[in-house]
Amino acid sequence: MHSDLRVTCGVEPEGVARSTPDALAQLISTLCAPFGFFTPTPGVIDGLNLSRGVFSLLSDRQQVDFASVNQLAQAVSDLESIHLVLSQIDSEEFAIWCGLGKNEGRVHLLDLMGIIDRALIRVTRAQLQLNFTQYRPSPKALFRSLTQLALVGVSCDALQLQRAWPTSARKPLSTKWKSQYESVKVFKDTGTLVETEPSIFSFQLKWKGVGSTDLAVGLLRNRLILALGGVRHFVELPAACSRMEPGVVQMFKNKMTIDFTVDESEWPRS
Amino acid sequence: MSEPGKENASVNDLGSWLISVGAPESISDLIPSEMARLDIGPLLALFNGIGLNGSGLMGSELGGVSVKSGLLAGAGGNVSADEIRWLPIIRS
Repeated sequence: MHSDLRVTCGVEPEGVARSTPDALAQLISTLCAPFGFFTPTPGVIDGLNLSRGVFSLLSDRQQVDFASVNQLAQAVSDLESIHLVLSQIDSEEFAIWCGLGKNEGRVHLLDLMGIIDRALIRVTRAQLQLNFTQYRPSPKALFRSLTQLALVGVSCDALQLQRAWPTSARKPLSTKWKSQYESVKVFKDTGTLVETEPSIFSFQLKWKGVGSTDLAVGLLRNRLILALGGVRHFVELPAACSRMEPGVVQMFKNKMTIDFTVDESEWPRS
Repeated sequence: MSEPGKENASVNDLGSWLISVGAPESISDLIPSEMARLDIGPLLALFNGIGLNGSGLMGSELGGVSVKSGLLAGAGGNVSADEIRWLPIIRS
């Protein structure tokens, strides 16, 4: 089901807000730290740039333009990161402090998180159009951008993409690339934790074709970070994982697994 | 302190804005000067219209908590920020 949002990639966006590129991470950190409840996780907010399409996604505009598929993927990823930062602010201490009548901040914080939630849902259901009139990436670069887009939950209709590819291009899309584009699937899995042997659990995530990507995988508090060329997606881990030691990530063609080992010193046998 | 009626005149830089929402003036000594001069217009624009400016989260009383070099000095001593832990990958 589509939302009322139409997104075009390949068109230079109009009226971009002023930019505070490298400083934004430090800025959020400085704004949040004095409250005493929140220490931002280094790396989560590095490189965020509100003006890079994030404002557009938060607006209620029905038509939003991005210069490229990669920029759209990056903006959605930034929006997810900002949401994560806000959820880190919403600590138990902060909630109690607000609940004691010190501050109305939590109400507004939850409002903002709700706005971002809705924006993320809206963009994942948007009607996506590609336009190669101004700029035509190489088929390989486009494949990588489409994979990044799929990682953050946005799909692209491969047929629409083929129609948009300029017929005047010196090199028409080969059958190989058409089939590659059709193979890109949106990342949807929330993962499963299974016990493989005593004291060892395996967290499994399925994503078609993940084995052929150069995905980086990290842990942040109770979330798994999947990163592909600067575009990140966060997967919430089962609570049990936070009390276990992570091992190596095994990447297969269509799934990845991460072993977690129970630290027996924390759970002594009786 | 800001003069009455002038609170919004120069809040686009971080240092002035923090003071305008109630931070002690000594907060300027705790953050590097280049950060104090940061233009936070785009961020304020994000918060505008959803109540995070003014009396909301960003208008909190900031006294009682000190900040030093990324460490939080509060109850329980200094707490360092946690970090992303990247995991080794084996590709089959």
